[in-house]
Amino acid sequence: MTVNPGEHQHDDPALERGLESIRSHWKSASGDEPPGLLDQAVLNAARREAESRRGRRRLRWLGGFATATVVVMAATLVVRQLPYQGPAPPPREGDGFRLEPDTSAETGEPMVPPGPAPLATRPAEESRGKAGEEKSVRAFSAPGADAAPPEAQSLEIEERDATAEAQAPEAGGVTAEEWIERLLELKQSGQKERLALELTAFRSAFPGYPLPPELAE
Amino acid sequence: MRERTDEQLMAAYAGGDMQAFEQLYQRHRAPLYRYLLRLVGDAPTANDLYQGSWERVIRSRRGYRPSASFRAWLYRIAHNHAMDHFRRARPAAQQPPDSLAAGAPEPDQALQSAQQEERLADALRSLPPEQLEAVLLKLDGGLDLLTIAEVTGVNRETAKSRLRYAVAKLKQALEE
Repeated sequence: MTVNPGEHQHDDPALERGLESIRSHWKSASGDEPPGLLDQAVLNAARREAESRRGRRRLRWLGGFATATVVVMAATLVVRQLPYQGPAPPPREGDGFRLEPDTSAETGEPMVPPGPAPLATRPAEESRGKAGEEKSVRAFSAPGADAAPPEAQSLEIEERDATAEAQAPEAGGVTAEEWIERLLELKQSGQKERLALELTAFRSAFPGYPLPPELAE
Repeated sequence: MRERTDEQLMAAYAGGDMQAFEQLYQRHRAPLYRYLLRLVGDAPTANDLYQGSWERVIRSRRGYRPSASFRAWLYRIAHNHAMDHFRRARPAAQQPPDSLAAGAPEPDQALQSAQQEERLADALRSLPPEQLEAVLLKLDGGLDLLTIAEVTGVNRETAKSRLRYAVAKLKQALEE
């Protein structure tokens, strides 16, 4: 359909002349208009549609706001839950920790904590499913303390540490005080050579431990 | 202030401007009504089609593109609505209505004018539906040939031919 744009206004001169002759009669017979009720019905429908559009816009805005609120709340909850979702990762050597190989899980033997005197041993079952610092805490707890809640365990550990600090140091199952009493007995009995040997052994076992004046000489 | 075009008014209504629609409606209500009334021939059917056409305009306002002529769009909607009506109605209704001028007021002016109107009405009744619609779209709708072709779904030459035949018959009836 090729159309000359100039033809839109005047489609065809002969046709236009014919139409002009009809138009005068046409106009006189064209007094018909839609009834008032029909006008009202159309305008009401248009108004309802325009208002519902505004309402939908408002609802769309509210819906978007509600969705954004839910997303923000969900994200907040997830962020708050994250630290409790799993055990803490084991410390790495690069972080300044010395890793102690936990052989108990593989060999089934109790893990003995390093130190001058073993305070407690750890049953093999204890190592199953445990990790990180929980393992190191349990390693120093007494046997049978497994059933106790974590708070009780930590209190027990603190009490044990305080007791150990209060106690005199031991060497070979003998405390420093017992050893000093024995040294005094050797001195009183006049066994000088034996006393000298024992004193050397005592000083190597308890370096810096204060000696009574009679032994310090 | 410069008057807004039909296309601008329709675009404004699509954005929720009710005043724009009222203005648009005032421009096109009477011509569209007359087109439908003469096309179907009876006022109740014309009323239904008229209301239905405007409701379609309202519902599909978001599909309207301001680049297209609003008048052409409006009459295409009305034409399609009328064609749907003819298809649904009994076969007799598909024929040119018996009383195309039934909705017209009784001639109460000069006798000559009344006679000419009567002759015009008779001539309209005698037109084939395609020619009738072409002349209605031209004289009531004020559409050009290309738009008439678009609205009725034919090419421009066919629309021109229909209109030319219709005008010739009507002119002949008035000159008798």
